[in-house]
Parts: sequence; structure tokens; C-alpha cells
Amino acid sequence: MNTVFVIAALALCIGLAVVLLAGAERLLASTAGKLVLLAGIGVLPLAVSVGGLTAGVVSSSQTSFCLSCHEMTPYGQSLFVDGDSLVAVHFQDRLVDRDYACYVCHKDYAMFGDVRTKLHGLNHLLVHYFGEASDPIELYAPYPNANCLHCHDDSRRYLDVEVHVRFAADMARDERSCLDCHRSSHDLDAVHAGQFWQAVAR
Amino acid sequence: MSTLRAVQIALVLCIAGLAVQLLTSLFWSPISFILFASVGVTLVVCGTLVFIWTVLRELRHTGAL
Repeated sequence: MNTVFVIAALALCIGLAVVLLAGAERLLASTAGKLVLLAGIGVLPLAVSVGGLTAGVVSSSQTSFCLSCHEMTPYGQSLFVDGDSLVAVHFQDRLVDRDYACYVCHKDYAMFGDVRTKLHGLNHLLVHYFGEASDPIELYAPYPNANCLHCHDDSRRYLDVEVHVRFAADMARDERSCLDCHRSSHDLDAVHAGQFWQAVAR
Repeated sequence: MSTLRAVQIALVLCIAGLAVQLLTSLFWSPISFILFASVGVTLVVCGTLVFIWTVLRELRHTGAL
């Protein structure tokens, strides 16, 4: 829907700019014409560009966008494996928005974290088109507990588990990782073995 | 450079930038998004800057600034 709106706005804006180009001489002769030029060159194209850019940034947070690079294929397939890996449980039980599954778990939740995450994404694109991704793909840093705690921190299901409360301080300082216990994140073994949840076959 | 010529250049830059944005929007992918942002938006910004420069020059020329 966003893309259709952006395309329509761009087409309209181009049409207007072409008309302005044809009548520029006449428009410059009057004050009203100059105001039309101001809107047609100084305001509308910038507004449409910012709108398009915003739609693009939102789109780049979507699961389909992340999985459009072939390097991510097995990680995308791991969303559908049969088992209790973290990724599969979160995706299949709808604990995360499926349309933004990658972004929700891998974004940086700190201040300006979105910007940092997008810059990392830009680097991923450069590697995809001009370099070679490591195999297996590695994170920039050990997975931060803050990303898990962002959602689970005060959830009843989380707090009802005694060890979560006992090690809360250690986990807040990243001295103990969530992945120490929940070892299986992306279950690539199951992917390679073809052990998928039935939804894949639909 | 005359005011008319500067405005025409600004419009052509804007049209080129918007055309790049339109084309990349029609074939949406990671690389087209990069082209949208790096080429399309940059051309539009350049066109707008040329227009602003023209307006300021005109205002200074007429003594309004």
C-alpha cells in the first residue's frame, strides 16, 4: 500500500515538474507563478522524496526484505523448523510480529539504535553486492540480553521462572547470557535435515 | 547564468531525481532502495538547492536581502 502511494505521488510530482519546466518562463513573470515554482521545486519534490525514503526505511525492516538476500535463506527457513529453538518458537507462536521478525530481535534498542541498525544493514548490503558474507554469518557482538529483556523483562511467564529472577542482575550486566541456557537460536541443523513445521507445506 | 536557465536546471535535476525514485520504486529490492536514496534523493536535493540559490541571488539582486 505504501509503495503504491509513493509511486502515485512520484508520478504526479514528475508530471507537475514537466509542466512547470514547459511554462517556466511565463511563471517567472508573475508573483503567483513564482510561488507555484516554489511549491513545485522547493517543497513538493522534497516532501515526496522524504515520504518515499520513510516508506523505504520501514520496508527495509520487514522480514521479506532481510530474507531477499540469498545468504539469509537458511536463517529464514529456520523460522519454520519443527522444534523448540528460540527463533522457531517466537515466529511460530507469534511472540513477534512475523512481518518484522528479524528486526524485532536483531535491532539495537539503545538511543539512536535504529540508526545504528540501519547502518549495519547498509553494510550488509555492501557485503552482499561487493563482498562475501562469512559462513556461517556472525553477529557484530555477542547477542545482548537487552534485546530479550526488552520484551520479556516484566512478563509474568518470564518472572515465574525462578532462575530468571535469581540471575536478573547478572543478566542485566550481560555477565550471563540468555543463550547460556537457551542454546538453540537459529536451528540450522534442523534446516539442513529438512525438519520443518507443517505450515511450510501449505 | 540567467534566472530562467537556473530554474530550468533545478527542474531538470528534480525531474531526473523523481524519475530515478519512480523507477526504483517499481522494482523494489535492497539495491533499488540504495539507488532511491543515494541517486534519486540526492538529485532532488541538488535541484532544490539550485532553486534556493537562484531565489537568494534574485532577492539580493533586487535589493530585498
